[in-house]
Amino acid sequence: MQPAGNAAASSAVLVQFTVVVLATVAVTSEYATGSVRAALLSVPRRSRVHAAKALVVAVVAFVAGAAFAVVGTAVAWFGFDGRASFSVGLSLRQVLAIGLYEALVAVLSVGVAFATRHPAGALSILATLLWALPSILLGLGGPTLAGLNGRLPHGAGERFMRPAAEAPYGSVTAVLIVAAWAAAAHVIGLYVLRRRDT
Amino acid sequence: MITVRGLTKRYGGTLAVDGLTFDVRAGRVTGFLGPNGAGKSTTMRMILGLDRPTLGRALIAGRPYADLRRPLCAVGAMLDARAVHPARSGRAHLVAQARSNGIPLRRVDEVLEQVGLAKAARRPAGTYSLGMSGRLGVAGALLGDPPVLVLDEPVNGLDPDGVRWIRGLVREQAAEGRTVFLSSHLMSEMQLTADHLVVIGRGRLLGDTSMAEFLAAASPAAARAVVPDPEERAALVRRLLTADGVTVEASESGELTVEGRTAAEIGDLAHRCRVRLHRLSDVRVSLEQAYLDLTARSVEYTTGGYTADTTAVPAASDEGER
Repeated sequence: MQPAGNAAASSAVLVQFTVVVLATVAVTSEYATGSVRAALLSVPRRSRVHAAKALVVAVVAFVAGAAFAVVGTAVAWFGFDGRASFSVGLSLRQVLAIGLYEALVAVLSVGVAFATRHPAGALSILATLLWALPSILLGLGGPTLAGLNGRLPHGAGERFMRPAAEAPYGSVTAVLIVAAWAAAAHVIGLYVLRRRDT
Repeated sequence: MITVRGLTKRYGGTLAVDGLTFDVRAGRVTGFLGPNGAGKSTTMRMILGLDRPTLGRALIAGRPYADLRRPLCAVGAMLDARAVHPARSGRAHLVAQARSNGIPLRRVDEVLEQVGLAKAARRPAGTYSLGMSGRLGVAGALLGDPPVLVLDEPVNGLDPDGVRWIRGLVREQAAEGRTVFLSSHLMSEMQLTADHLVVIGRGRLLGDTSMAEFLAAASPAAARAVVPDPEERAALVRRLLTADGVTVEASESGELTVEGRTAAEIGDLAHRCRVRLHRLSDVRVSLEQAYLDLTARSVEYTTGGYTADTTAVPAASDEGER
């Protein structure tokens, strides 16, 4: 029997779309309206503006992700009607894991959005990274491509949202892989924000 | 005080701003003039740390904008009045700016009152007219009570009342000892507002002088006089023409247009010759005329060509020889 929280963890692949769009628009709308200039005039230190944006969106995504996980786990528990297991400890861990994953995806999206400044560009990159590449890699199959998918944000996210015994690396490593993606996007976004004219 | 030193901005192969050096001093209104595309807005954005200069630097009170700790209390800027999130209310827009710079929130309501937006403060900014957006932009610039104001086309979209209001406000701010740097393409408005002018064309400095000098340089002394009596008029003309470099044109109605003499000089002369005058005035060149004269000498925007970038036409032949 699988834990009920696995249902919520599996659908994180869809839920993250909301987070990606929200986080992207939180940045690109500032460029579309020009209000980013007011922000940068008020706070000329780019790193603070960028970090503040990432922090706010991450907190919203964490809360939304955790709330979704609670509802998802509850729905699954009733829906599976005794064919899924439930333990408070594991469920709580999964709720926090899903919240954390969505928060990291939000930071990743903010970084990509600052780097591209346009929603179309940002969403193309994020959709490729979070959906298209995993589908291709898993669709083609084979241990190499599956291993590669495990190094992508969503592949690694699955490992800590839905822990399984046969995983090639542990939950902590999985969190670090997703965090590394988020950090890389953050650094790139900050670099572009610093270098490019506004 | 704004200090601009060798400020240069290159976009690909074109120099949008080419080695600008000038100061904007406190206690007066400095007008920033130039045709569209001359680099005015780019220069202002570089002063405000929004664009990175390719070369050179722009300092506010001796420091780059990015190093200012509470920038809104050091510089008030208005660039594009429309650059507000349309769903946010005017007040929310200002509150966010105030919070980030440690400005008390009562100041937000003060400036909203000052610019006449208090009633519309809680409406979404997207519903504002262009004039109201302009007022919100001015409110944002005044928020931190800054000693330096940078305003890009502040009268754009304002009605005549608003234009007068901006003029009064800007003059008042300068009279209080603040530094005011203002761009506008409305020459008549600039003539009424600015004390000092920085003129650029094709990204280069064409002039950095007081308004009075700028106008004087563009126009030789000239005056108009109305002499009712034909004999006296003829006598006055004879006396005027005895000097070199003076030309007189007489209209049928008895009005004389004298070039090479000021109204004061003509008045003195008329007094000595016992000639009655009904009217006497200096002929003032408008800022628009003076500006067009100056920019006509740099070739690009009159011909639209890229052939020459020399400034004065007479100088061009000198330079042609190498």
